[in-house]
Amino acid sequence: MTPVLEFLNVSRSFMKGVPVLDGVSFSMAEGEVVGLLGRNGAGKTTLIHIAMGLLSTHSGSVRVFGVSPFDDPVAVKRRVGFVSEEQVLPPRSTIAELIAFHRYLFGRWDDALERQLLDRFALSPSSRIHRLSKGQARQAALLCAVCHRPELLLLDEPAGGLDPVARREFLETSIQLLNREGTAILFSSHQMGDVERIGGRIVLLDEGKVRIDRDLDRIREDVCVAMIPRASAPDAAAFESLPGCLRVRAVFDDWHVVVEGDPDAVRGQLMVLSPANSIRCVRVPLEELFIELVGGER
Amino acid sequence: MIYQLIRRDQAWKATPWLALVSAVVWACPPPIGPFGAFVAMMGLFTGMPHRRATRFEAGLPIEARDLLLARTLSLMALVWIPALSGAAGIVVVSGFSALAAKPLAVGGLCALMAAVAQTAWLKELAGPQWILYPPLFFLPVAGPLMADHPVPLVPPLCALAGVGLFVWAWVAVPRSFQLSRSSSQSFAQVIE
Repeated sequence: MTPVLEFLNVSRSFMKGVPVLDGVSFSMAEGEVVGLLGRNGAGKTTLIHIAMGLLSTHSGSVRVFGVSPFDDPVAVKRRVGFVSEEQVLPPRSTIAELIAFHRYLFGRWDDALERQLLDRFALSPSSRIHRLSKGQARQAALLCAVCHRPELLLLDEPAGGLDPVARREFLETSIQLLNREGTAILFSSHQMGDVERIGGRIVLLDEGKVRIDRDLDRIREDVCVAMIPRASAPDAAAFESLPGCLRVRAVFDDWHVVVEGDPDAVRGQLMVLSPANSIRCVRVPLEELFIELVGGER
Repeated sequence: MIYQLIRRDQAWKATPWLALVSAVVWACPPPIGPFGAFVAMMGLFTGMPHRRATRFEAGLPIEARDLLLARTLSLMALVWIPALSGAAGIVVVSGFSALAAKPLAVGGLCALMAAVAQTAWLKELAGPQWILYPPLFFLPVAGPLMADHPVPLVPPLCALAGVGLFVWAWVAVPRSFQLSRSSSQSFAQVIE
């Protein structure tokens, strides 16, 4: 079956010698929800723009529904919904005009869903975009992005800058409503809470590469963090060769080693390498894990 | 599609107002009359001729050629309708005379500058803002000069060059515009 979205060794840089994306590869199947995580500048927005055909790759390829978004951008965009934090809707337009324009462009339009979302978000069709709050404007953008029933929804920091209530409302609507219909969703976020609530699969970008790509449940169950006193093991190289080791970093007086596996089993393996009694090995919440994987040394 | 894009274009929306102002200013006797060139130039800047599409439009299933054509037509309307209304203003006040060629000569220059800005950095959503700056210095000098000494050949030559540039752009335009550093800057978004 053709993946809905597929990145193959995608590289892109904005300055010579400083790649934003460096050989990124992953794919998404129909109906899959993928959270794209990463620090600022990790390449999340760049990757989504590439999927939309708005930025070219320097090497590698991208396929949306088996088609390059650069070869047939109109056909691809007709099947995709796109909401971005940076998106600026035409400020003088009313919501009704915006909807009419989208209806004209996409042909296919779900009137029932449009009414449902207008009610749910309490948006008046006669409101002008520049009179809406940030959250309402984002909701209007979401409405326009989903009412043509896209097969793939790309959300680039969609809830960025929204208050917690608007944020939850926005995400629950977009994810629940669409994924129920089999729409594949790729959303980027800094907020671990959003990612945990939505579930699905996580792709973690770090320094332009995919550091982790797996189901959220598997990450929770299979990945743990070991803390080893640096005094007992001055060299980190031994830990890096540990099977399933994802990252080693120095944090004050400890080594923090992120490893795949059961905490007890991992602790046993580490005891062989560094026979210190004070080795601790624990499963950590997703936010902690994110920091362990992409955070700097301290 | 083209009509749908034009009617949403900022340049198109500004055209009636600029036409009104242009008619009034050109019809005034000196020293106000020569300011018609300044009005035309400011009108051109309002239309942001370096921009081919907004980021919002870039995310929609619209052919880049349609965006380019709609933008070019909107900009030409922004230039030529006020130029014609300016000429009409002169005719109404002073009758048919060579003076009526002044706004058309200035319109010809503005149209050529709009065409140059539209065709620069053609793969991207918008060219860099600095492309607007040379006309900013050129038009205040050339505009009044043209207004005082209109050369009959200027409008047709400018129109010919503009059409040539547009044809080249029509052939060379990619299927989808790319975001760029210049197009990701906030100027277009602030005004839009």
